[in-house]
Amino acid sequence: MFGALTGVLSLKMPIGSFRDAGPGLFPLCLGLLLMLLAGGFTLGAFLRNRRAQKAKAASLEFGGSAKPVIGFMAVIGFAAAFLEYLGYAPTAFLVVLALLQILGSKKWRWNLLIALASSAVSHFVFVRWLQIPFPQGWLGL
Amino acid sequence: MLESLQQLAGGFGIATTVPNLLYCLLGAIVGTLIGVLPGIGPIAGIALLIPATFSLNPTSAIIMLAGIYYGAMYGGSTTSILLNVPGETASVITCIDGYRMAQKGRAGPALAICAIGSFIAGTLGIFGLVAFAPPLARAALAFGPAEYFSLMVFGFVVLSNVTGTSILKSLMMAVIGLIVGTIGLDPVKGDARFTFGSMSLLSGIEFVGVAIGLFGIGEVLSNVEKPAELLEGTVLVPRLRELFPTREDLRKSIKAILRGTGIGFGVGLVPGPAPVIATYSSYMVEKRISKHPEEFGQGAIEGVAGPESANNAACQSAFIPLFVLGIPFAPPTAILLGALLIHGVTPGPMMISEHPQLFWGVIASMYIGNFILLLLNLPFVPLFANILRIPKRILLPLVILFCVTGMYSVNNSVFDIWVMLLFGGLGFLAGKGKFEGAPLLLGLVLGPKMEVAFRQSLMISHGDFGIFTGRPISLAFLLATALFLVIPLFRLAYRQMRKGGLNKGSAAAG
Repeated sequence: MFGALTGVLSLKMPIGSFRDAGPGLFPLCLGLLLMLLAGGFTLGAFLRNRRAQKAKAASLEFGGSAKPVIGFMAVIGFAAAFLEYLGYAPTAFLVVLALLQILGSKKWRWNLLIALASSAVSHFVFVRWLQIPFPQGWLGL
Repeated sequence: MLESLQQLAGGFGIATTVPNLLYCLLGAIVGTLIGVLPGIGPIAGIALLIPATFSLNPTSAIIMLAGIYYGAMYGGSTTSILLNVPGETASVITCIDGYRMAQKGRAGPALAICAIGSFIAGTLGIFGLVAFAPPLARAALAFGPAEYFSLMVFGFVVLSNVTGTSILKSLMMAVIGLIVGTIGLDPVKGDARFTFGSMSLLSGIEFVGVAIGLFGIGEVLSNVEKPAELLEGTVLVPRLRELFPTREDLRKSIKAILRGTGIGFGVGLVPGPAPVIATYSSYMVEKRISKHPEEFGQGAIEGVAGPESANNAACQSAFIPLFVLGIPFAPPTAILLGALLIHGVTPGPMMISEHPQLFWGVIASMYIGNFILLLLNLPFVPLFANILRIPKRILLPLVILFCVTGMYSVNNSVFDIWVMLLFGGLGFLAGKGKFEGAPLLLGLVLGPKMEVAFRQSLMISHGDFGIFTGRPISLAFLLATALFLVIPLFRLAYRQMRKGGLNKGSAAAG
């Protein structure tokens, strides 16, 4: 699918010739190559399944729980979405606190302490010491 | 050789400046910590810390990142011995006899022999690097665009062959990396490609975002998914006075260390997951030539000394293809290649002449780094071992915070955090499907160079593909590539034939 999409989008750019290649030629070749490889892989998987007489579709099985994985990704997404509005230190505090909660630590006070300490230390190191220009947000932190 | 030694002496002058010594020390400490902590490998460690090197000059940055690499290799042995959990894949073999020694109350000598063996191997490995790298670089000066293109094709196939479970999967990842690498401005004509009108995509996809996403976020998500049973084992922390090996331990170990160094250095030059193959080969050699092979698996010190030395020597020699050809044969050196490019240094045959300060400075710093690690690993082993007691539920949120912070600091851009998140999710799912991230990263890094080499070659030959087969060096690389592609097919066919034969045999017996 990705290969086909690349191929189609490449065709919208000038292709040129091999002597004078346009910007679309190299991605077009890559898209075709990816489709070829994916075709070979699918065929191989199909033949292996048939030989084993098991029509077991290749699936992405979760060894454990998918919830914390989704939770972690949501928290990173939250950080990306709100960093500019909240500022660095409050975002760091909320990120660590939320992730600690997702990992199942039920000691609220302990989690607050870790989140507070880690955001304070990272604020000191990255904002004050290394002077990385993080957004200050509504609170000016 | 004499000229190289003179250059190396100059390199020591660069490496022993106070800032570079501090960066070397910092890299060694951070690397050891990364190696000690299970779940965060050297690849993720280097990727996470690349943004921290942006304010440094290229020499100091690579000194620090190289320190993280070999520091992680040292540190990996600590968890193998104390916890029976390898900090990284190359330390798997060390678990066998190292953990048995710890169970018998001899964790101290096992850790000390690891440190001594790694120091000796690292030191000898550096001399090998000095001897081999300059002549190889001179030979590589004859390369034109066609040779470079063929070399890069060879590099992709080699890395795809040695990472992951399937060469097809790895090649697919490499091609995806190459496609991602085409996002942004066309390197020849300057047209915008796959940017969809976004200004953020004009400069292409940030390598650091992909690296941190695939290896940092991806590894954290894999850890988050499963229960933290890996850290539930008992940590056997030795006391300082228990660390010193006996004279008998040293006598038994020294030959194993020297043999391991030779094996490791040789294997490191060959494409492949060098440290893993080197440790396994060294263990097998030691067991085979031992007068007491029955002691292996029961806490034989040679089973720790040989593999750990081989591991470190392989890490040193893996720098030769990276520095001299600009092609990494292993995932950690692929990350280092990206770091070098970010700092404006293009590894390849011209690197020694164009950036002598960096090349010789980094090599000299490796020697100093090995000495620092020897000093660090012996007295501070109990301290590092105590770090193993940090619960994962605290460590993982902090790693995420560090990833987000590091990613933003690259371009002061929130867009990069989204890129990191996207590739983090992809890295996690790819891991589930046994797709390796390293070929994708290599594709992203080498993609623009490969395209330029491809297009320049065809321009020179007026569109004739014969340029790739008509030049001897290019042809040699393409033949080697074909060999790397064909060997797994033969191996598969042979395995199928044997399996078929066995099935027929058992059916006849039944």
